[in-house]
Amino acid sequence: MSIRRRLTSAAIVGIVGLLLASCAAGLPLAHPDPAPAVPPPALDAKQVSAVLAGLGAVLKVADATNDPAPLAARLSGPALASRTAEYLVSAKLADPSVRTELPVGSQTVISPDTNTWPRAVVVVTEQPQNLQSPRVLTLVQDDPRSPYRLWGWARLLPGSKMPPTAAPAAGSKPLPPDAPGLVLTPEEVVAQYADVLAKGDVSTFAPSFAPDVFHKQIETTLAATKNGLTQGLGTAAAVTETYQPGPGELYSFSTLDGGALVIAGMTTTTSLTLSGGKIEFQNDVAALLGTTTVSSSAVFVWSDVLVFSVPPKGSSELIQVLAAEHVRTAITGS
Amino acid sequence: MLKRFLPAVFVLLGLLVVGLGIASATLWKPSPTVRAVATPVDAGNVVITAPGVLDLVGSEVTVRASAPGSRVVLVIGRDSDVAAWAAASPHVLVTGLSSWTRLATDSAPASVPQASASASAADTASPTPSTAPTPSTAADGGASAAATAGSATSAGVAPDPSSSDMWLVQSDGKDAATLTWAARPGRWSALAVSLGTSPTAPELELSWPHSVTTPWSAPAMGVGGALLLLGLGLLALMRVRTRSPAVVEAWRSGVRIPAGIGAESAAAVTAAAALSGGLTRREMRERERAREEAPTVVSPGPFARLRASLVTWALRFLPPAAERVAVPTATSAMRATRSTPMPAPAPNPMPNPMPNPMPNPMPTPNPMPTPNPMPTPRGPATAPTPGPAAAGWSRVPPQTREPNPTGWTPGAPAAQEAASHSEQPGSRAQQPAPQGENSTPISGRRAAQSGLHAAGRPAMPAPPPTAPRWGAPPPDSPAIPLPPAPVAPAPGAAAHDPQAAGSTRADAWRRAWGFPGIPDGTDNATEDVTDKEEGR
Repeated sequence: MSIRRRLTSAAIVGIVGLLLASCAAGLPLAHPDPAPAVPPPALDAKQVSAVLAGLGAVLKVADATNDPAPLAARLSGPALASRTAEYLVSAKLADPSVRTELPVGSQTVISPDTNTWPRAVVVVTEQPQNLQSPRVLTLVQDDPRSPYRLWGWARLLPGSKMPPTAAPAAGSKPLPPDAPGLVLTPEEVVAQYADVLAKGDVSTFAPSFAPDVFHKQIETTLAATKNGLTQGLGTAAAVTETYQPGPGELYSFSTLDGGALVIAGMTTTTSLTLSGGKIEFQNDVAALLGTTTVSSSAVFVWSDVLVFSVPPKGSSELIQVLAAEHVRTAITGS
Repeated sequence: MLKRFLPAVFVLLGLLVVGLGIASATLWKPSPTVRAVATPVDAGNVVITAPGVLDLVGSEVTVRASAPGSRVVLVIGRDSDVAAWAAASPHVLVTGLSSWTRLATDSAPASVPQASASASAADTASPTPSTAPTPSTAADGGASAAATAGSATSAGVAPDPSSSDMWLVQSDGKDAATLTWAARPGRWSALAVSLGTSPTAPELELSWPHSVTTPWSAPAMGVGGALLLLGLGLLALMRVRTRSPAVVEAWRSGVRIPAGIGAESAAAVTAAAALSGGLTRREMRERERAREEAPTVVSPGPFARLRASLVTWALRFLPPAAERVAVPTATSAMRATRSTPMPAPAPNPMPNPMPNPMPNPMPTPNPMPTPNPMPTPRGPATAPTPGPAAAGWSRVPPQTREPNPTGWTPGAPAAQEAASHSEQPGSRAQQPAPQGENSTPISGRRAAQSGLHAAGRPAMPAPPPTAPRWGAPPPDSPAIPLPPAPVAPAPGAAAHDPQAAGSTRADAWRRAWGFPGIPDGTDNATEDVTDKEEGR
């Protein structure tokens, strides 16, 4: 009896337990993929295309009327300032060709592996229809609720070759301004290059940089300006030019060879001072200036975007300027 | 007690489990769509989901965000992007399921109050509103303007998220927005924002088509079926063990009332037949129990009063007293008549003064002339078909003689069995005393009284004594030594032509159940028996 009773009660307990278990099926819990050690690319190729399409749409609308108002949706920083100046000139001269053509088709995309803001995506565009060199577009998202805006563009300099970078599906690691492991940190690169621009070959940093077209153009332009003023005004006119890296305008990405792609904003200021006589401006300068002649001084403000290829530390290669843009954004004078 | 009801319990339990199994596959079959809703909590106008929530149940989710009266924008993006976007505003975070129809939510304040928003506003300050179209096809033309303006709006109300480039899919609409999302590697979150003059957090509904399985139906059907079979088998076994000769007689009388039985006897038989036919088994059982309680009162024991009270309780459910009384009376008459040729009952330590309308299946050996100790083929065939009249529910006491498990073995060697029976009083004394085992008081007592009944009704051959497999008192139950049961009358019964009685009984069973009559000699024997009884 006792055994039988035990068996019976065990059976009953088992059945009741079975029924209870069937009623108490657990709710599923969220089991997301573990957060990756390296954040995924901020944008995939499709999203970058969408961003570029948005940029193209904004540019198209703005270009049609040389109206800078719509630009704010998709442009910021040097790009916004440059484009606005170009519209001004273009409107006054009725010459669309003064605007920089900005293709939005991409050749190469550098998408940052980041979870923080601001975020920058770099795009090397197709060759423009005017057969100029491709542009290097830097699109920046300042905060989570902002769209990606074109912060700056630069033209690939003749002969320059982009360092190998990771595919956008993998993403490139963004580097801080003081990133080690390079021959120079990104902020040193910009500061030293500004010094080289200002001082030329006598700069102590000149040996670090490979000769580049941009530097040559800056020197040439400055020399031409000096030359012209000297020819016209003699010693009554003086020209000085300063190069100031833009604060916070520095975006760096690691490349596959261990180096870095450094994109920096810089402001070039050209100051003319006259002790006598006057200078007459034409065309685009006059358009920006708002008048044609100055008799005491004139200040040209250029918005520069520079793209450097920085070799890794220990490398014997030199820092190269891959792309640059030098757009006159403002002229003041009296 | 428990033993008595266990088969029924098994049957009921089996039915219940089978029913549950069927219901789990039909009535309670989960919906092929799991739909869970998060109702808005007053915490801003933003609802986001935690990573992993979108593929909580299935790999494909349909997300619906609704806020009546508002434009609703629904997007899905990387979890960090969504969280960062929503962080600037108070928002509701969906963390999982709180039930199969509710989403668990958590309210989060604006963790980055205005800091990034104002910075963004300063960066992107534009004197004129932007009308740039966004790259997304789902976003309408004014989205950018809303987002740009939204950067400068007051904290607490989130702007339109659709201008952002971070989302993978997005949808918007008046009052509600819906989109579907197939799970992909990575961590993804949904973001729903309601936009309006005074927007509140939208209601978020996630629904997953999900493959429905009924894992409990097959096991429940199996277990339930096994229980059912077990219970039915036990019931059948009990019937076989507890078939009462009186019932058989009643059935036989339904076929043909022997002429030898007197008027009272016939009346008694009729009453018994009516009793067995008109009452349920339970009623009959309770009546019998009630009738049997009388000796219990007489016999000393701590359970006597309990049983008496039980009977009193049970009697309340019985038909009026007149009917109750009539039955024992008639049976008493019958018994008196039929026990005439018998010697007086042997002294019984537990005398049963009450007439028993349903004589117990007695362990009395059936003195059959047939020397075949093996069960006849038709014995087992009829044995498992207990009629509704086999209401005795009384247990045959365990026997010392084991070779014949079937209840119907007309060919048992009577003398030998009787001898073995009478020679082993000690074994019978091993039977549990009724007072010693509460769970089997009646069966035990009946077992103890078996000798009495046997003595009282020798003319009615009882089924051969068998040991009930189930319900038998355990060997370890307290044994109250009983005097040797008065099985002595068995030889006397043999002298009373037990062969004829046995054949008659078997034939009655066969006829009652619609079996063909006993072929050839056996059938004749039955007729002979009838004739003899008629002539008695």
